[in-house]
Amino acid sequence: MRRPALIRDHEITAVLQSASIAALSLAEESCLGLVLRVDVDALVATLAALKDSDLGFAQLIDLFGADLLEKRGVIEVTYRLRSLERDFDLFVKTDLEAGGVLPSVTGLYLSALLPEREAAEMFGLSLTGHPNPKHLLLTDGVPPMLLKSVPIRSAEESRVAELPKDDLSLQLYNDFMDRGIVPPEDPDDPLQNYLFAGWISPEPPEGPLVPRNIRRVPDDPDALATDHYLLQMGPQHPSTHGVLNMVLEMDGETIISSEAHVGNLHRGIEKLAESRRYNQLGTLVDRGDYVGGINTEMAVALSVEKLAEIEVPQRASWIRVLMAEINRLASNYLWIGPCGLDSGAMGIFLFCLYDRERWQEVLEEVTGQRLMFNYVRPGGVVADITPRAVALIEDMLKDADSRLDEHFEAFMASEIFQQRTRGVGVVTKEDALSLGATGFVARASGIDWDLRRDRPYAAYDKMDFEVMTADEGDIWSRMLCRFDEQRQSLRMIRQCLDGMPEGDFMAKMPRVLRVPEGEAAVPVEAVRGEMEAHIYSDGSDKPYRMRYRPPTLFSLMISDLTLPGHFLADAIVNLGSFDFCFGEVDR
Amino acid sequence: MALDQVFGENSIIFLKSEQLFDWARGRSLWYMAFGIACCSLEGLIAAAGPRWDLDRHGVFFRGVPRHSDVMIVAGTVNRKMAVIVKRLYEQMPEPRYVLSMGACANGGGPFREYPNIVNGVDQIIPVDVYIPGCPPRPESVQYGFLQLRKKINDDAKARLDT
Repeated sequence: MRRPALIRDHEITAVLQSASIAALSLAEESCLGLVLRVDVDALVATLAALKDSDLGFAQLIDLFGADLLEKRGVIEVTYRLRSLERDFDLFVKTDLEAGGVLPSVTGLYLSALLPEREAAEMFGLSLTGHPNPKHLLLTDGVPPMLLKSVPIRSAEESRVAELPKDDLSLQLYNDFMDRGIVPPEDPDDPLQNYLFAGWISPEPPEGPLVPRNIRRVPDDPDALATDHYLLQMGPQHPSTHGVLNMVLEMDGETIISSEAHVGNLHRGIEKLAESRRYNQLGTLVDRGDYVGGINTEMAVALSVEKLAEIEVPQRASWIRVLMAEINRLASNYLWIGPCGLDSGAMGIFLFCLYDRERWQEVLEEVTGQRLMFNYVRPGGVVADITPRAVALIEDMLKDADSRLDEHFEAFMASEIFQQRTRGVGVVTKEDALSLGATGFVARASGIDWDLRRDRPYAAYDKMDFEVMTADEGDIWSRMLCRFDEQRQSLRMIRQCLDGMPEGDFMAKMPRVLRVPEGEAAVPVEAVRGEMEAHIYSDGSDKPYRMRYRPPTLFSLMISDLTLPGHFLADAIVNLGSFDFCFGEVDR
Repeated sequence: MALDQVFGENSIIFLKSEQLFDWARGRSLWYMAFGIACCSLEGLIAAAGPRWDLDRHGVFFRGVPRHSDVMIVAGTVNRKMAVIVKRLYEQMPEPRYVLSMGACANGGGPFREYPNIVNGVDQIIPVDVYIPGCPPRPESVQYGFLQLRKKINDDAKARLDT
């Protein structure tokens, strides 16, 4: 295990002084770590100074806002910076007034591209210096949802709530159906562009052409040969693994540029969390990362436990690791299988589903549910593992390794697959750092970082496992790293069964858990990368604000970067190799 | 006897052949591979997998709306998605059927309080079978398809009886 070399506050003060920046405050907060508060005017300069310093803050892990208008009259924006060399996280916070202007830091950290758009639209801020300051998740006509002044539906409203008749998107749709295919009236309107992207108009529209998304076939055949066209891939596309909507600019079969449109599954997990008790948060985050629910539940539980200073029994920690690893295995099967479908191999899909169902049986036996577990709660886990579950796991472990080898032989070892994936979709180490890659995407690009090993939570400090990294950063390395994760999961499951301590599976908890005021965030190595639930508590039984860091939102930015220059057919394997989960991207 | 009564609409030959078609339709319900959210894992992937194997009912997935008869609305529909769901529904050839799968598609589910959510997909498109659960198990989806088949067959039968 690596030795953590803590960054002291005087080092950060020195960096700020050399750049002649006056920080508002720099203090250690008990549950969070070192927090640096700066004025919004000095924000970009501060981050630039920190990035260029020898402290190595190469990654912007997360960026989000919080509505503190009731408390301090400000909207607080938090930047979580990470130094991998020194194994340290620094929180930089800045305050904005309502409707303020957020300076973009995309020039420094590319990973701010999508989170900035999200923060701006969710809190009614405006962006300066952002290359693409459009709405990310919501449609027009929806107010900034994460403001406390915007209410959610009451129980009566939610029973009868109908689509508003003046809903802009439906109106446009009906117009579109009545009038047939016509160019959008306002080519600069993002919603119209969104609806009409990729349609080719049958008649030349009047006036000066060309609206951005409507291109006519030119009369001159030579011009035709070089004309780019827009291809709208998704949201209904079997290989986007959800409701991703890619707008691809194509030159023949080659992708020139790509833009991901998300928000088709935005359902307000962060907003609804503010009206749920701490025990109920699991139901929401389960539906975020719906393939690897146990890991995300654990992130919430760990944050709440840190805030409330709850001591978790040893056995509960071990059960958490056991179930998280089983869940990781089941989730990875659901990644390799569809990846095979994407690249034209049907057999591996059936192989993987067969194994996944057997692991699902264990999960169902212990948690009572197949997908939405709500099993890990603050204080421990809901139920102990049963003798039947142990028997099922032991039965699985008999041939699990050999079946993994079989999968490898049947799918990954195929020369055709290797030719399609080696050297395709390369993410360099610099890009991975700058775009906030975590988890297997980072490891495939040569970043040796695994939260289970480097910042052990639950009982991972007692586990013996290895972390595989690769240097190429292509699809093949991502698949290899993830495949090795499966073997390590099996190792950990064996260790859990052998070393499971006796004791309680749940700490003594009050009926209604009230959490002292404060902030906490415990990063967790979820299936798709780093997930953390950043919880603001105001001392009541419900969180004041919960930020869900979605690892695949960051992978999405990386995939946008890797698509150009490749064939469309490779794009599908490439998208599959990032393992998106849209419940999580859109929340 | 006019020719109409033999071959026209509501004639016995027409209805009998219609019944034959419905019998065939109920046995090859091809659904669109269109998973919106969590329910797609259970209703589309696990149900098509080796354990539940919906293929044996003649239920198989197609990638394109124009090839499919059934749309499984497997997940939460929000205002951005509502437009797309409606457009996909209208791209499907008739006769077309809709299975609303899970609490979200039936009535908003755990997210019904969020103003961006459409509380029930039946506000946008007509629904034939509602499958309860969050998420429903693959068996429920199987049962839903059997109910849909029954519904299709009953339609023609009811017309024949009147």
